[in-house]
Amino acid sequence: MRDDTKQQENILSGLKRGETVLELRGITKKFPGVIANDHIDFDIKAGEIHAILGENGAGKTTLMNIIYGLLQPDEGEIYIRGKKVQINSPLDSIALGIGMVHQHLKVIPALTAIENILLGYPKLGRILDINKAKKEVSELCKKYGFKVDLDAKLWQLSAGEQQTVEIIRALYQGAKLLILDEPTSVLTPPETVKLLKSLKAMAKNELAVIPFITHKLPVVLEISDRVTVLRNGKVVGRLKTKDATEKILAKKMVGREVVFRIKRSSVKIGKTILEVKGLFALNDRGAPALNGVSFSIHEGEIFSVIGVTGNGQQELAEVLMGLRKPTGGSIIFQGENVTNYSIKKRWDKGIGYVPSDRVGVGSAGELSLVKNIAMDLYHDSEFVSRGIIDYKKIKKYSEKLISDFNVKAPSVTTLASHLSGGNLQKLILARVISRRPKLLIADLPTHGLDVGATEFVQNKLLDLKKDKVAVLLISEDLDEALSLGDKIAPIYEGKFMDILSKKNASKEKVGALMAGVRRG
Amino acid sequence: MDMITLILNASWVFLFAALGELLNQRSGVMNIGLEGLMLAGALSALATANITGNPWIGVAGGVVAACILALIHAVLSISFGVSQVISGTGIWIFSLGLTTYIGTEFTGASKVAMEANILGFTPLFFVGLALVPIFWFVISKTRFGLRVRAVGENPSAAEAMGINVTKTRYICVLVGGIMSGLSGAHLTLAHTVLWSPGMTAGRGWIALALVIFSMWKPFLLLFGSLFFGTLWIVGFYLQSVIPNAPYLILQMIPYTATIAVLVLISTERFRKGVRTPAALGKPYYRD
Amino acid sequence: MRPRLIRREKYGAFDNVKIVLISMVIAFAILSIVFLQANIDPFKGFGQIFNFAFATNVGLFLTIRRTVPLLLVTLAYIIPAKGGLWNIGGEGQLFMGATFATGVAFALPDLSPILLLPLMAIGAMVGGASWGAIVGYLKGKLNVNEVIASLLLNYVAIVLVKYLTWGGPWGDPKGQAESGPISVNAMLPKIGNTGIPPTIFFALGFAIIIYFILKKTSLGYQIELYGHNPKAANYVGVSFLKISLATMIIAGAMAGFAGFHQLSSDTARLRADISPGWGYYGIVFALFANLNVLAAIIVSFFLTGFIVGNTMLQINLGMNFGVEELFIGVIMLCLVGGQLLKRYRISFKKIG
Repeated sequence: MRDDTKQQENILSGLKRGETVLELRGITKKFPGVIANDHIDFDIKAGEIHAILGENGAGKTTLMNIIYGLLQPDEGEIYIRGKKVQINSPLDSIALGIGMVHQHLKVIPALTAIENILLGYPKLGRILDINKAKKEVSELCKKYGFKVDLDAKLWQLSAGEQQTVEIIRALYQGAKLLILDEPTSVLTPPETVKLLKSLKAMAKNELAVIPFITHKLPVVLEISDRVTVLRNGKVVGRLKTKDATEKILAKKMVGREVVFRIKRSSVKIGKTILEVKGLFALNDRGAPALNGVSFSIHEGEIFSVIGVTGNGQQELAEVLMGLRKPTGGSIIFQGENVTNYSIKKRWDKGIGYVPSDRVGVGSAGELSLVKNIAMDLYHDSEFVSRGIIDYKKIKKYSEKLISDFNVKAPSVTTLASHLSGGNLQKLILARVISRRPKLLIADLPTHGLDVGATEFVQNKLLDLKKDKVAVLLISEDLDEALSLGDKIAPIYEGKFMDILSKKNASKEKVGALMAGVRRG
Repeated sequence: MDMITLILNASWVFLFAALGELLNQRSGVMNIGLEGLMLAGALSALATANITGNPWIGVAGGVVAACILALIHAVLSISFGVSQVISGTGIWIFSLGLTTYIGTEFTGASKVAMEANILGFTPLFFVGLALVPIFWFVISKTRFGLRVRAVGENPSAAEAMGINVTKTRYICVLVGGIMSGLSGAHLTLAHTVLWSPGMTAGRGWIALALVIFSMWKPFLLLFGSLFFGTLWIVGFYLQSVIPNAPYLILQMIPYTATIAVLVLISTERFRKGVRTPAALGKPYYRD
Repeated sequence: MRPRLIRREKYGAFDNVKIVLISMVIAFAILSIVFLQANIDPFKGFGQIFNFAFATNVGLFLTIRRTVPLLLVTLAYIIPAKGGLWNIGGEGQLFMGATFATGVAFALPDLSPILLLPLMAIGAMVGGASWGAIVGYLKGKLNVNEVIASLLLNYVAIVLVKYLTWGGPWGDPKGQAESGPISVNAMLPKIGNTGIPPTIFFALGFAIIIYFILKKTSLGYQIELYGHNPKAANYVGVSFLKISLATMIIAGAMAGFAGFHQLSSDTARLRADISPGWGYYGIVFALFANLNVLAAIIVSFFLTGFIVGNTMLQINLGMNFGVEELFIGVIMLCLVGGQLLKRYRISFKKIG
């Protein structure tokens, strides 16, 4: 398996500063209905850190996977050190000296750091010489400024340290070109500083690094020598970082196309429904996700939280609904402190939640539509008497719901997994909204939906204003957030950068705030 | 001295089977049919030894029989994704039936046995003793052991790193089979040199408990098998000496102690120190 | 035209019937070999089995009688399975049921059967339910692996029974490995000459009630939702602890009642072999029935019949000792092996 790539093994050894390590020419990749990468040219030299910047959906992931060998381009060529290559699988790219550190770390928590580093290393001897390996790895760490306790079990390490372990593994196994997928998304600010130092040390040692970054403009400016901006699959700009400013980059990322549609809402904003004070929470990895969020939402108001996924929005929604315990702060709903209420109690009190994970959390694919709609009704006295569910009533109710919300399905007994994304979202929305919640938390409700479904969902949210519902809308789409939101709060690293009223929010302003640009 | 020999031999029945199952479980595969594998090994060892007149061919026979059953378990649960619990249960019931039926010819004392010629113990005994540090070494100090541990924790990550999960698990299950065969052979050719239907009498379940009790650590397993072995023998001894004594409560200790350990390692605090192989019992689907 | 196994795309209820049939066919093929090896005509052999189990009065009544505990332990596996939990502890729960029933019987030997029997039944269900509750609590609160926990508890229960009976506090003064007899009042009456106690109606009744609970009630819905998608269930406020406890308690009660039945209609004494591993058979039966409660009634009846019919093999056909266990073992293995057909189907298409 490794024999035929032995010749390529040495291709990246002995790199000299300034040599072109990787060159992409005209890389194009199409998926049904979308051109993910459109004739992308790119090059990176030894000793350079060349960042690729772009929003979600701009084509970064596809490009990354092509370089790493998980996907093959439809058109275009890849050159390593001037030689044309075919990368048909990750094994090829590893053999070529390309290493990748994924955003969702592929580590084994119960093993130690050094064990994780050695795992899968083809040159590993039958009997482990941990001491020798530790020595070699320590030298590597010294060279690049990594500080990791090699004997610690991986679950004991912070996310940042785990990422360091993955980087070390790639380097130890011979990588000369390192691809980093959203490297700073799991890091705290001090960890980010450490990482930048290490990347600079790697560049000094003639390695080449490509960080793929979304929206973290300050980081891009700090860390890279050059930056290429992607938008809608195309390269829209390539600059030397010293010539770039946050403003310039933000403009390029976001573009100057037709601005958002303004919807005149004649609904009066009413009393305070939700008040959140100083909310703190950790994410699944134990790292801080919410760092002191405070805001309030009123009747008939849509509060748009806009940000790149991974900045704490999901945790915010979960804490509000009771799916996650906050580490600090309070939640006051209609005057009541609900911070410690159970999930069921919050539903009963009038909070509703449409989760971003339609399939994994919001629905039960193997059950019928009726049973999915019953998810909210199994404890509702209107449909349940003395513990027995009146399925006939639920069925009728479901039929009405499905027609009201335009859910295209053969019948109410169809399985939820047979619905298209848009119809499933409409179903979940229908289920939650028909319970008449006073506060609706909608997490990425239009994510992955086609134009028609998106418009439908957005209009339904606007309708809620008339019903005096308070809506917390979590969105990744600037246009959506700006057109629907009465208040717009860009979120970055677990904090609201600002809370803007619709009047004061412009696309560029919000785009910049989302990307971490401080005001002024 | 006799009592000690008895206890050590009794403990080794647990030791062999549990060591094999330990490796099994480290790779993420649970074999509930352990009792059945031991029975098959026991009968086959005794039968083969009596037919050939050679106890060591008997041991080989025991190993082969147990391995065949282990292979069935591997094929069903690893390659075809049948639940490990179901597969193990089926194999156990099958083995119980098969050995009861075939064993009628061999019921009673065995005419052939292993000679206890080294300090009063058979050579197989010392093999067992040596296997403890060997297992420990393989698991913690070899490339193979590292792979096994990775596979038992996070098979998809391991696969992504180029490790063949299926192959690794098959090897572990077969080793488990070999060890169960040795356990059975030790039982019928060294410890209680006879056959009677269902004679393992639940010791396979104790071995299963032992693996968990030892928290998947080979040296703890050695200690645990001595502990459980002592309880086993002392229980029976007490019965003959003091009738109506609550000696059977002693027999409960292996199980209750293991439950205590199980609960302990599931609590937050303890999880920091010891972990169940995360992928234990879950089938791994490549597709 | 070699047959190959190919990964299935989907799997429906009707496919399960096919799996059942294929498993049985293979089982019968293997058993035929056993018959031939014992110089018996397989048809004659199978004829003996089925004839005795279903066509003779003695056999049929025995089949019905034995279906009671086997149906109940099958239910004991199915209920938690619906909620995603693996209850391997049916055997131990049965033993605890028998133990509690014995306790009640020994405490009130002279109470009239009309009062004593229901009390024993309730005691048995409480015993089994509490045994199941231990597992349910550990799983719900601490996420302790319920397979291992219930398995270990099985053996704790068996040893407990051994302790009580082998020369222990309830031991038979004559020194047998069983308890003293329970009083006549504690024995279940039989219907006419059939030897079938009224517990058969209870077993069927329980099955129907459980079917109803699972299908129509809010609890049943929550169990089903949790079994299909625990995250979704959690998201709408279903409590994992509640599901764990509820399913394990009901399951334990079922198995406990089976223990009561065995005690009061069969053995009349508490013994360590009051169940020869039926708790485990229940698991395989449940799979065979594709976790469907109504199918479980039919499946357990027929498979019990097969097991009952096996008892004739040694007596009537002179086969060796152990043939019963062998036959049961072969059937179980084939049923288990047939499970692979849930994910793979046999294809006779040419390899392209």
